[in-house]
Amino acid sequence: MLLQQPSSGHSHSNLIFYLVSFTQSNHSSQRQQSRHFQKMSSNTKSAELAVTVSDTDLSEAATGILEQFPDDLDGDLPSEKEIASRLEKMTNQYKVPLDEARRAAVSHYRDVFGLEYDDLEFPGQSAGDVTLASINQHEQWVDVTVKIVELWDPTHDSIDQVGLIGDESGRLKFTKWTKAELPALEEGSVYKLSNVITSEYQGRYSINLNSRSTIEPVDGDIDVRADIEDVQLSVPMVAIQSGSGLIKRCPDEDCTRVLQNGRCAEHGDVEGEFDLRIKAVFDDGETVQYAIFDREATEAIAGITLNEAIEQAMDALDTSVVEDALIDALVGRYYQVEGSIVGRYLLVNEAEQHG
Amino acid sequence: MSESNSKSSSSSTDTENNDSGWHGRQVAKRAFAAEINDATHVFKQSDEERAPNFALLPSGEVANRYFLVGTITEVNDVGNEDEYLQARVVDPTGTMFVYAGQYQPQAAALLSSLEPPAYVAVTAKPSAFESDGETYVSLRPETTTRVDNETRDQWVSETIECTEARLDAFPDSDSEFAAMSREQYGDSLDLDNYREAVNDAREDLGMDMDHRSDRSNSETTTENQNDDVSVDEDGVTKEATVEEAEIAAAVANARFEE
Repeated sequence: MLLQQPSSGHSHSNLIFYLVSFTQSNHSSQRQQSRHFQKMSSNTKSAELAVTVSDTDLSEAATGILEQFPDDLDGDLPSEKEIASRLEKMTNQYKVPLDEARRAAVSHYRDVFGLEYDDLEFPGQSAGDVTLASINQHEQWVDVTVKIVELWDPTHDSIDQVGLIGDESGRLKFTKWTKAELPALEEGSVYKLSNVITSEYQGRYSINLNSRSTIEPVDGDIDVRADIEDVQLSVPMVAIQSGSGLIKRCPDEDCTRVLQNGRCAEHGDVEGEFDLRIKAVFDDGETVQYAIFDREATEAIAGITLNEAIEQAMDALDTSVVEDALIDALVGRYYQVEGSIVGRYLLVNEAEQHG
Repeated sequence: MSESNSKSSSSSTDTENNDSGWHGRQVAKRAFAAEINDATHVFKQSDEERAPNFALLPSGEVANRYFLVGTITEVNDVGNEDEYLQARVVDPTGTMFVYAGQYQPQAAALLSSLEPPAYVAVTAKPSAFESDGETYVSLRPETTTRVDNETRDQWVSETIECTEARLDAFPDSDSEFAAMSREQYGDSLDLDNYREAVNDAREDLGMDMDHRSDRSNSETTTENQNDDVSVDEDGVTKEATVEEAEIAAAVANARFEE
């Protein structure tokens, strides 16, 4: 994740950075309980130890397990009763939580039939098309349509590709396993990934592509949502950094880099387009927060339009007068600032001076 | 939306490529003149050439940078050939000395143009210099701007809180810098001075009524001492008045070391 959380520990001050909300609610605590298949870490359900598991629950669990095994097995499937009695022994005799017993039973029968984990079926489990932000279950089979935002270097031979996928709702890590022998995904391209399985680690979800998954290229683009955290600060601005004020950007639609001496790092000498921005530093005495005011936010806080800024620069034959004027007008004052944290920057939506 | 997307991807690249850079900037500490002027022990935490300087606050924290707001009462050119401005910046607890020369063009331009008295906000780096066996603190401004009295009051109120938090934490603190303060400032370390400074600041804001009852219960001694501090018409405590020419000469030399 690309979140930078403002640091905590401002107990003494009422002028603090505080979180208003997470717009991305992947940390949802209300994970639905899946009856059919759910892997639990071994010690999460210790409270169940003392509880006797009812016959109904055992039989339901057994049916669930049975449904996961394909019909065309070499050898006879165990009966539901057989599975239930296996579960009963583990739960009520050996005091193993039902989820652990279920996991052990599935594992046992996989061994018996020589099946890979991927060969198991999970009828009724695929949640179909979902958005990334809505994923809040461990080991849920889903279909997603996503853009490959970033590819990272795999850290192990068993991983074919790993990186970040995104859709309009958010971003998640994905892992494509080598064993799955799936076609290569390209950065920046859009795909429908079907039958992929979610996993959760320390409250964060990711997507796994295995041999049961399919990849289908999709035309078009997705406007991937940035990782965003909304914040409100009440802080003084202690600096405006160079590169603020009247700037020129590369006119190339996909570039928009800020020009240095009329040159774009990517496209060389170009006829730049004027823009206004402020790279500000807010500081509450405990934490430094870099912030960016885009043109709209700059115009609002400085009470100057882009055209007026251009005129100022023309009169002075120097664009730096705009930055100087912004420093004089804005630095050293206290602000209520509202915006979103993206990476190390606060993108300012609104800022208002105190008093 | 597309704007923020493009920024998010570029900033994520920044953080990955330049991990060291983004915790780089030092915070600006809040402290009153009374404490800033006593923070005479300035040191580096590493031997690296560009390692930052830190001033050791008597209350047990270090400051590489201050953010302060005060009243400019006087600006003098104390340079020899080039202009080198000395500004007296006064807060409710004392006077700080801010020096700006050709390498601080933004601050120098503002200081030479404004008519005292005026409220200014200063983001500045501390340094210390010695003159006749005394150590003085000078401040080198990064940015100086003219502000209104609301901003000034807000700073005073914020600095009261920050200072009190440090003072409250000090007695039980096992931090490296609290220990360093006890060692460096030794006998001259008297944190009651900064309690008094906080009280002065409170009174300045007209907050004394709110706190008088607390103080009469628990801090009577402090209040009595408080009454003994003599204050001249500018609100400048007498102890803060030092030989200016001396400082100017010393600073004019000291600045070349930076």
